[in-house]
Amino acid sequence: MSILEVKNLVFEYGTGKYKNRALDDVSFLLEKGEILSIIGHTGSGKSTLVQTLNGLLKPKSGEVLFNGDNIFKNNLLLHQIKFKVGLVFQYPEYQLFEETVFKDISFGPHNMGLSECEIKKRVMFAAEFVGLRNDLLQKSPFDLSGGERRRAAIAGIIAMKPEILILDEPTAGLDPGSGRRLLDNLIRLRKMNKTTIIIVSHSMEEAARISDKIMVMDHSKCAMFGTPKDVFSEDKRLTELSLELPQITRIMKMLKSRGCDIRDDILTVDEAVSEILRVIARGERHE
Amino acid sequence: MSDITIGQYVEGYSVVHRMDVRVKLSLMLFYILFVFIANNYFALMLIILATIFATLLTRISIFQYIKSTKGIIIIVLLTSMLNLFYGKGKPIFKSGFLEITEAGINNAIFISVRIILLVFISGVLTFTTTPADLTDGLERIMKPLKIFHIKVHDIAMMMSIALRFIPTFFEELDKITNAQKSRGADIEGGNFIARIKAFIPILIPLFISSFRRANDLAAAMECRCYNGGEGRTRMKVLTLHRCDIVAIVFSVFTFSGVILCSILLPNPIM
Ligand SMILES: Nc1ncnc2c1ncn2[C@@H]1O[C@H](COP(=O)(O)OP(=O)(O)OP(=O)(O)O)[C@@H](O)[C@H]1O
Ligand SMILES: [Mg+2]
Repeated sequence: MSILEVKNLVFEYGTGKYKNRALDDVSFLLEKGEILSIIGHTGSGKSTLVQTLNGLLKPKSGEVLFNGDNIFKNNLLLHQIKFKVGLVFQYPEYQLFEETVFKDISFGPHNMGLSECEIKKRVMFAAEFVGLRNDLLQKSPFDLSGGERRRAAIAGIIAMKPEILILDEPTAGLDPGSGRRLLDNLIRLRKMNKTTIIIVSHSMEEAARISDKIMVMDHSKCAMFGTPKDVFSEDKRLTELSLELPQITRIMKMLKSRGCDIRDDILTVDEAVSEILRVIARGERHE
Repeated sequence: MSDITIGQYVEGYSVVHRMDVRVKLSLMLFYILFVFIANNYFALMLIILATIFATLLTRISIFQYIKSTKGIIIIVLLTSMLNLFYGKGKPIFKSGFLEITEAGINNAIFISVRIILLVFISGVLTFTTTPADLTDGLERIMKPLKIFHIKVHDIAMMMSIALRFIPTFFEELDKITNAQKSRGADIEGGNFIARIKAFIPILIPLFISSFRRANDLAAAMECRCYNGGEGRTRMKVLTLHRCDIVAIVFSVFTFSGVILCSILLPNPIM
């Protein structure tokens, strides 16, 4: 059984004259331990979709099945699903409120009713995970820098150890180094706990590098769904959807179109390096 | 929470919608005065007719007006009950220390009709004028207060900024509530104390972000050289149109009629 199954989800904001269909018949499947990237132009419904996945928004029709159970079945399940499907909002740094970072990170675990000892362990784990120095834990969250606040907010969700972790544009506004470390940590988390991860992203490079599946949203619909190789092989379609290929893929395509005998289904820099080296080695052998 | 509407503006293109805010506001002030000057049934009837005429002119469904009286119906009933027993003169009905006189009945009718009229006429104003236009109009009308060193422009600016940010505020409230719910915050359940406590995770970020926003806005306004009302020109220049003149003339006739009736005819309330 898949860990997450979304069936024919329809969601509308507002009523009557102000009705706005933000999700239109969206369906997909996700297996345990997979990393899914959701990409799509601004306003295509990505944030709306992830908010239905942990039951914050109730869809007009359709189902969200977590381990086979419809999360909207009853209120108890709807409350508990929040701990199993952890959602980090877009710009989560604005939700901090406690006196210290430590207390803020423990807000979620506290709501789960864990013991003090367990809470402490989890907070330490989560802080270490996002790279928050220990001395910051006793500071007020309002004294941190923007990036540190973002990390604290993400730690607040990680500390709940959700089975599915959803992050809505987690790297927006972070420096490239921090962004990369965050993603590397997510991959590590997946290895460690088999956590299923969903990331909303505007970066094709990121999506290509870390995901097992990619979903492309367009005007409230799921336009494409598949492995990165499948999705990025349809470059015409992507351009139509106001997206583009990862930079490195574009470079490989250009090389090929200039007559270089090279693979152009390459998505990451590492792959590209080995492919280019291979081509060069072959060229030298010919001489 | 996109369904929150500020004020009660109903979009439309009627004559009343197009009227100058200043005229609408001043006429309304006079109207309030004359609702209380009217002290016999003829004068009252005149004002009722004028009100009905005005509501019809707005081309907004009468149900909208009736709906707006819903909130004050209790007050109307209560005050008219009290007034019922407060008239002087020969009692028509007596039970214990309570007595109802003819003047009491008249009193009760007058007070309830007056309140309802006020609600209707404020509907005519607020249904046809956007909150932004209203504050603008208020600023212009209160301009003479400047001689008392009242900062009319600043007050109006504060009001319009507050109005502008109410939807943003609710959006923010919604967002933060959702974020805390995602961390398992239980907002609906529990007893009174628990519920107040549950609001802290929402209120603190909300306050912080409001202050931050206020700060940003102040900086942005300063960067664009805002320095109060001194020497500021306006984008919307108001001019009186024919409909305004007609409205004024019409009102002057009605008001004079009310004065004449009130002076010449006997007063049933005493
Ligand atoms: N609270 C809301 N009330 C009404 N409409 C909304 C609300 N939130 C979003 N929408 C509308 O729903 C649509 C989808 O919005 P959503 O936030 O899901 O987009 P998104 O894909 O996350 O965009 P972005 O990349 O900018 O974050 C948009 O048209 C937006 O205007
Ligand atoms: Mg979004």
